[in-house]
Amino acid sequence: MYDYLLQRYGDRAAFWGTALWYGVLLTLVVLSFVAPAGEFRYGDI
Amino acid sequence: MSVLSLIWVMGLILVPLLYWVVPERFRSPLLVAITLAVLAFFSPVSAILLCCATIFAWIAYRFFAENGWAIAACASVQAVPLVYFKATQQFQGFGAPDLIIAIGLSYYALRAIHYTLEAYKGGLPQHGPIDVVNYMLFLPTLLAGPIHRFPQFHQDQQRRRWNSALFSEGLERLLYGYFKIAFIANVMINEWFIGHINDHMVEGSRSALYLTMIAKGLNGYFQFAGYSDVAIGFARLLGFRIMENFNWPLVRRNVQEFWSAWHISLTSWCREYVYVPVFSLTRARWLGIISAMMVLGLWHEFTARYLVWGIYNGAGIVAWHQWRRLAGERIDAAIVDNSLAVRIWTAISILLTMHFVFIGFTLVQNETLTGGLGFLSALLGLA
Repeated sequence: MYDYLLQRYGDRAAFWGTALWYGVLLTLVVLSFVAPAGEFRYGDI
Repeated sequence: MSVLSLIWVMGLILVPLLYWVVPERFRSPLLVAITLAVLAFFSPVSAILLCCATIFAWIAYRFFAENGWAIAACASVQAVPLVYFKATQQFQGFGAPDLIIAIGLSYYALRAIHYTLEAYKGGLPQHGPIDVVNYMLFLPTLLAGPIHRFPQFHQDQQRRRWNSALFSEGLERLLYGYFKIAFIANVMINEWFIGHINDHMVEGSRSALYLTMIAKGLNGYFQFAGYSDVAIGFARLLGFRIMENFNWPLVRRNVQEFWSAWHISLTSWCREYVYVPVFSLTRARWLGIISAMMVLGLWHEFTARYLVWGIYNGAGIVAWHQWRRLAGERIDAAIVDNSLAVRIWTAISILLTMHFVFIGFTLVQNETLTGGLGFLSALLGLA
């Protein structure tokens, strides 16, 4: 992710873009754990 | 025990921390001790079986590596607990005595067989018994694979040192893994998608059954790919680069490509240790493919539904080879200069492959083969 953004948009955009991307993912993961609707069901794998 | 459990998440934080803090010579013993402690707590029978498998694997390598029959016997003995547990797990709760679940057996049994067979083939580097213990009792791959191979593991172990780039990659993979399991599979697919089907569609209608099939297929992929990401990420936090398990399987153009990209560590195991020997002995490619896919199916569970599922996928691969020989190559050659035609043909191929595979999954997503066939009949309007 970082390398891709670095090549296309430069150092600063790569840093903030990556931070934003990971921030969004991490927020969604945490919300999935704590949200009432997100009661976990172990999938049938 | 699931990777979503609190104890596993705590382990992901504490184990790498401890691992890199202790002196180098204590790192592997620490990891082995944690693995044994975890197994002994959650599944004592599995801890005993794993220790036996490890000792037996070393004996096979040390004393019988030159003798093909002895190695075959050793590999068969390694398979006995796996076959026993797979054959009896279906009777749980149906009057048979409760069986103790052997956590991780499906994976470490195949690792032990791989190690034993490679001992005979000469595919193992020089190593000692402690290396086998470290390989067999490797915590990150204990729960859900991948079925990584000894030579790569041994190489990583020799070169192991703190690598911040690898550690960072590990954290990234963990995040992707948990995102796939927790958000995409559990929330988006199970809560929203399946919830929408249940709340707004006529129960038992063909459109509801079709969307359920798609949802369950996607759920299976994201759950399992997520578990593999967590294992791979965990291993990278410890300085090991274990093999990948999925490579975009749902955008493959045919069933052969799909099975080269889905659960790669298992499919490559079946190719190396089932397909190749059967093909070498019989020179019948179709028999090798069907045999490998049957083993792949029965590895999940010793039941009729998984046997049929394996044969179904094997027959699909054989049919694809025939199709390619009879017409596929000519179609590819005819449209090669037309990029639009290539794109349309690729899209059709991907959709067909995905539906073929998802239809196969319905056979094993129900409790019995009859249930799976009933679902399929209803889906196709035959019931």
